[in-house]
Amino acid sequence: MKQSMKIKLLLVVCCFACSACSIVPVKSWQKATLAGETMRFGGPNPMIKKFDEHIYTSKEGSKGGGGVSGGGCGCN
Amino acid sequence: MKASSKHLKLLVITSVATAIIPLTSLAEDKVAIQIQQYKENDDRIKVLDGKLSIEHDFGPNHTLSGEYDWDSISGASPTWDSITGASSETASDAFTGASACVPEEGENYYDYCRNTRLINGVVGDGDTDLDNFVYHNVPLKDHRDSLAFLYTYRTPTMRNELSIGASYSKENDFENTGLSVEYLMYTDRSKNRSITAGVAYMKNEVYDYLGEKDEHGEYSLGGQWHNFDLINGQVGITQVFDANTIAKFSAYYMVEEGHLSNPYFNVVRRINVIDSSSDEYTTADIYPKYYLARDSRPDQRKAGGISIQTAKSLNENTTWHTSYRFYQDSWGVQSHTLESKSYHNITDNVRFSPVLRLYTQSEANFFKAHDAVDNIFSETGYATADDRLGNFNAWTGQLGLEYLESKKLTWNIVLGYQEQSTGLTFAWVNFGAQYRY
Repeated sequence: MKQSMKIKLLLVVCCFACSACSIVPVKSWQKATLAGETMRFGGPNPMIKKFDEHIYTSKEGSKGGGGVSGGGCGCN
Repeated sequence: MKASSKHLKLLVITSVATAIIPLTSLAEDKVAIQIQQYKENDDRIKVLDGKLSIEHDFGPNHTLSGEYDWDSISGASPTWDSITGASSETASDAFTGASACVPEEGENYYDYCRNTRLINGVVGDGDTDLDNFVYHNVPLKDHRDSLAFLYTYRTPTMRNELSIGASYSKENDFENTGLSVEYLMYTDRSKNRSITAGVAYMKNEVYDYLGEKDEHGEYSLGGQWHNFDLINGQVGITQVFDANTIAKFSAYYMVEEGHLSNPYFNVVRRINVIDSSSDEYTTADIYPKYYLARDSRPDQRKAGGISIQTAKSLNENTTWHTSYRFYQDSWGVQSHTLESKSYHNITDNVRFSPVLRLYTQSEANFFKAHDAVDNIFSETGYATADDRLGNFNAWTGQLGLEYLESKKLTWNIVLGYQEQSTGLTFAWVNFGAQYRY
């Protein structure tokens, strides 16, 4: 069950990676969409993302990968 | 002629504006407040958390942001305990003054008992009946205040960014001080690719309610502070794939060193004791006895992994974010995290954002689940029954709603729920506002 879930996860990741393989040079004036607030990795409101990350690192055994800034907690 | 000149002017202004704005973080003056209420099943942890943040630009090249966070934690956290509830009251039989290492049980036993207390973090005096131990909720209460600042400098021509962060957090039993430096560099003039490298250092102090052991193996009252440090490094590449797609690939590595055992968690250890007053004992004099002992983890944890984040605009009203993270550490924990989040403009003022997150984790090599057939630890070695270091899967669902009252003011509410295969479930609600000025 666990092994099959890992395989499924890897397949989905591969699909994501392959779908984004082609690079089309984008000029500055074509970046209106990319500059939109919903295109930011932290979302339009970064505080919501911080709350989420705080919960996940408190209740799961792994952390990291989301940047280096920010504080810690003694979440028991 | 006039129209085409106006069009050209507009094109130049748009080009300059979009070229100046870095794709990874948009500079804007804003203040935001967010409140969160969090609750676990089985009368476990409840949290009320608030964040207040402000971000201000000082000219085009400098941005300073500050954040204040306060939260109150109450409820209970499950751990091994004796049925007398020793750890809920005092965390240790030793605190009650009771000493079952009585000479009446035999001189060798007495010595062994004392010696046992000097090792393995044994608390209490043990019991021959395993039924006298229970895994149950132990009440806790805490409050946390934290402050964080981030200063960002942008180079005038290429708009590369140097960010320096500092943070401080204080709880009754925990203190954290952090520093971070991150540099973002564009590799081409069109700013379609950037490289990010960052490093952070955190100094942590955790309070252990038990003091040092004396020569008899008894813990003294008063407690003590222990240190552990964390160094975290991350490098990443952000790539624009087309006018609607951007992705970031990152690799991270961190080392934690110091007192990493959790002072609130206990395990049960089985120790064979000798109940005989003479040196010539037989196997009949040896019997197992169970001891409540401290959670014990290695003093170093090395961890690393990779993460991939993508953001794609599907149409003018829909944006789809996906992310994957792989994590592995020296304790044997390995995890995979997959998340999908989308933003849907339902009307000009209302934005809906559902999230689905899947998580799977393998257990640390010194973990034994409290409800496993083999849930008792031997006399020596690292030991934890903390479910967060166990083998489990989890799914998380979120529904977010934003109301864009004006171009400056946005209200939001987010409902979240996570279910773990360990039986733990929790839900939270966030609400807040963001004002751009």
